[in-house]
Formats: sequence, structure tokens, C-alpha cells
Amino acid sequence: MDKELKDIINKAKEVRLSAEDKAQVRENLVTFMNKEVESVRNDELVRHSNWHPKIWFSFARIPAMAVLSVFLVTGVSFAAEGSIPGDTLYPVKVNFNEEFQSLIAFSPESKAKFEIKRAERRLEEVGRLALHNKLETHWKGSLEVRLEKQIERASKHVAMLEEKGELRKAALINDRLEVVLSVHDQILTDLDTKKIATKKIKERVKKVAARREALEKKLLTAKVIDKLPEEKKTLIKKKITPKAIKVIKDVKAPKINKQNLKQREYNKAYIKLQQAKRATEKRILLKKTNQRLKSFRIKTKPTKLKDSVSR
Amino acid sequence: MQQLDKSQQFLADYESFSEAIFRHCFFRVSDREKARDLMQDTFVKAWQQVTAGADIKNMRAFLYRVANNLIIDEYRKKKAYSLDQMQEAGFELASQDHLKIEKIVEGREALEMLEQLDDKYKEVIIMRYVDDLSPQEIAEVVGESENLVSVRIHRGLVRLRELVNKV
Repeated sequence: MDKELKDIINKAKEVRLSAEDKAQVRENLVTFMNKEVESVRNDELVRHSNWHPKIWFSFARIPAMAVLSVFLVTGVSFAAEGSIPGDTLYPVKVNFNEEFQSLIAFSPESKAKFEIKRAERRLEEVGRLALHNKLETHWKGSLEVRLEKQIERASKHVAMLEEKGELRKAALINDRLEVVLSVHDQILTDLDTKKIATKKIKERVKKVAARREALEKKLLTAKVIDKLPEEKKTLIKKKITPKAIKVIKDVKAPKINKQNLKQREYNKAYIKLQQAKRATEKRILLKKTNQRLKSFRIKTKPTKLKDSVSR
Repeated sequence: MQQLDKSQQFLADYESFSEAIFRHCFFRVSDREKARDLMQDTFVKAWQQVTAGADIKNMRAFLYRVANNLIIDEYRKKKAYSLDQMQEAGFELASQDHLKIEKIVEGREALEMLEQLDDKYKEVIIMRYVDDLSPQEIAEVVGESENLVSVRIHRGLVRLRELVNKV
């Protein structure tokens, strides 16, 4: 290999992982490896969990004189993932699996995204419980509180980013929250026939939409220059709906050029783009969630799940 | 106890390989934070395999394989784009500043060259010359034949050479 290429390679070899990062990741790893989990008898797992036995279970008995830490029984962690309130393993899902993941999310953005992911899981659980007619039992006790907490945390992150002046990042996270909430709101309108959870969720949908409008007002006058075309590219690959295409076609990205940048027009284009992106993501998430819920349906009770595109 | 030995060994492997895995991830995704998260995920997943009883003969190659799969998942999220599709929809592309060669800062130039390589070449070149994996190990990681890997490395070097000449 010639000299110039060798130089490139040598420069590449100089990229370093910082000592702090290395130590932090090691600590996270050790936490993961050492967490104690109760061993569960095999037949209990099969009886109580909704998870299907495609997963290999490993169960180690805790030694009677366990002075040393016991290592994570990974089978239990996996098995817990499919559980809902009322299942034996549900506490493992929310108190261990999710707690651990939230612990290791590094940036405020990842933390916020993760809270939204958790809220999504709660909303899915609401759907599944409604299907089995068990929502009333579990909503007030645990689900409502958890969901509220997770949405609150995500909103706090949005507020923090907004305060820091990172309007785009704040809007992106808020958008994700809005997509998740409105998709599940639509699904639950059908499933939650006793209207146990829908009121609360609709309130939240309103709140997050209001937040979005407030952010858009700020974005209109913001001085930001960045990658408008990048996001269009992503949208196209995501197979956007004809409606969304129409919105995008109206958007003409001005040539980004230090001389003739028209900030406000550019900002308007950005906002329109985000609108199209939300519509696309809603459509995709709606389809995905309906499919997931269908797989948990009781055969004797067919429930119609609408698959229409929301605005 | 056997479990204790396993975990001690695994942490020793972490000490040995974490930097290399991080660096590899960094060159593939061009983002330090993302690379750190990916590196962590790699070890978490690898540990899950260890406790699940998997028989891992070459931990280093195994870690690269896990990392590689995670990186591919990461790409799928971002998704590549085609310029033709863009033009069909009637857009104007802003210039992609990060490719502008006149932005030369000591050291960054070199990394930008690597960044411009297509991922399939970047992948093997980094594994071969930065990570010092043998062609056989690389073949194991990417799931292709050793021959194909060697050809790809060669083509990657040619392409890298072309990029350097353009400056």
C-alpha cells in the first residue's frame, strides 16, 4: 500500500475511545452482568407468560449460600418482554429490563426517545388488556401512573431542549411522542369500548399537539441552517403517501447559499416537511401496531381493527 | 464457580477489545456517541450469548460479527437514498458541505476519505488495516468467501486511491 493510503490508515488508528467512556461502559456492563433475578420454575413461565417458547430458557438455581452475586438469567429477561400487567414476569419487564435500558441511554435525546419507547409499550399493553377485557383491573393501579410518568419525562426533555435553544431536536422528539400517542388513541377508540383509558390519552394527544404548535411558532422565526434535503431523502425511502408527496412537492428547498438564504421561507419548508414526516410515521406505526395486536387476539372474540390513514 | 470464571474472562475480553470495536463502529457510523452505544450493545449481546451457553471459539471475531450486525441494523434505520428518486420528486439538492474537499483540517481529511468509501469497501478495509483482522476472520464476520473478501479489499484500496487523487 502506498504512503498516502498508509497515512490515512495510521490517522484512523489514532481514533481513541476515551478512558471515561471505556470505564462507564464497563460499569454498565458489570451492572447488567450482576443483577440478581429470581429463578422461576419452567412451567410457571409457560403458564403465565404470553411469550411463546421460541426462546431458549436458562434457569440457574440460586445457591443457598449466595455471598457472591448471581448472574443474570437471560432467559427470564427475554421471556418477560412479552408480558402484560397480571403476568408473573411483568415486574421483570418494567423494573429490570426497562430500568436497565434507561440507565444506559447516554444523551438526553436517547433518554427521551427511550421514555417514548416505554410509553409506547404501556399503550400497547393497554390495547392487549382491552382485548382480553382486563383493562379495568390494571389501568388505575399501575398502567395509568406509569404511562403518565413516562410521557412527563419525555415532555421534560422536550422542554429542556427548547430552553437550550435546540428547537429542531425538541420538535423531533415531540413529533415522535405525538405520532405514538395519536396512533394508539386511534386504535384504542375501537378497542377500549368501556372508555377506561381513552379520556386520559386524548388529553395527552391535545397537549402534545399544542406543544407542537408552540414550537412551530418559534421555529418560524428561528435562525437555523441545516440539512433539509437529508430528511426528504429519508421520507422518500419510507414510501410516503400520495398526500404527503403533495405536501413535499409544494416545498422547494432554496439553494443554501450564504448570499441569498431566505430564512423564513426555509423555516416554513422545514415545518411542512415535518408535517409530511409525521403523516408517514403515523401510517407506518398504525399498520405495525395493528399487526402486533392482531397476533394477541383471542380467537373467540374477533375485534375489528381499522387500518385507515390518520391525517 | 464456572459462572464467575466466565464473567472474569468476559471482562478481560472487554478490556482487550472494547477500543478496537469502538473504533470500528466509529468509522462505520461516523458518530462518536452512536459508536459508543453500539460498542456497548455489542458487549451486552455477546454476554447474553455467553450465558446462553454459546461456544465461542474466537471471541474477537465473534464480537466483530455482533458489531457488524448491529451496524447493519443501524444503516437500515437510516436508509440509503438514490439521487434519481430525489430528482423525480422535483427537489433541488443543497450542496453537501461535508464532502467539500476544500475543508481541510489536519487529520480530518484522512477520515473524510474513509467516510466517502462505499460501506461494503469501508467495512473490509477497516477490518483489514485498522483492526488487523485476517482475510479469513473478515470472511467469517461478513459471511462471504475469503476470495470475495480479498477482491473487495483490493477494489476498496483502488477506490480509496482514486479518492485521494481527486484532492
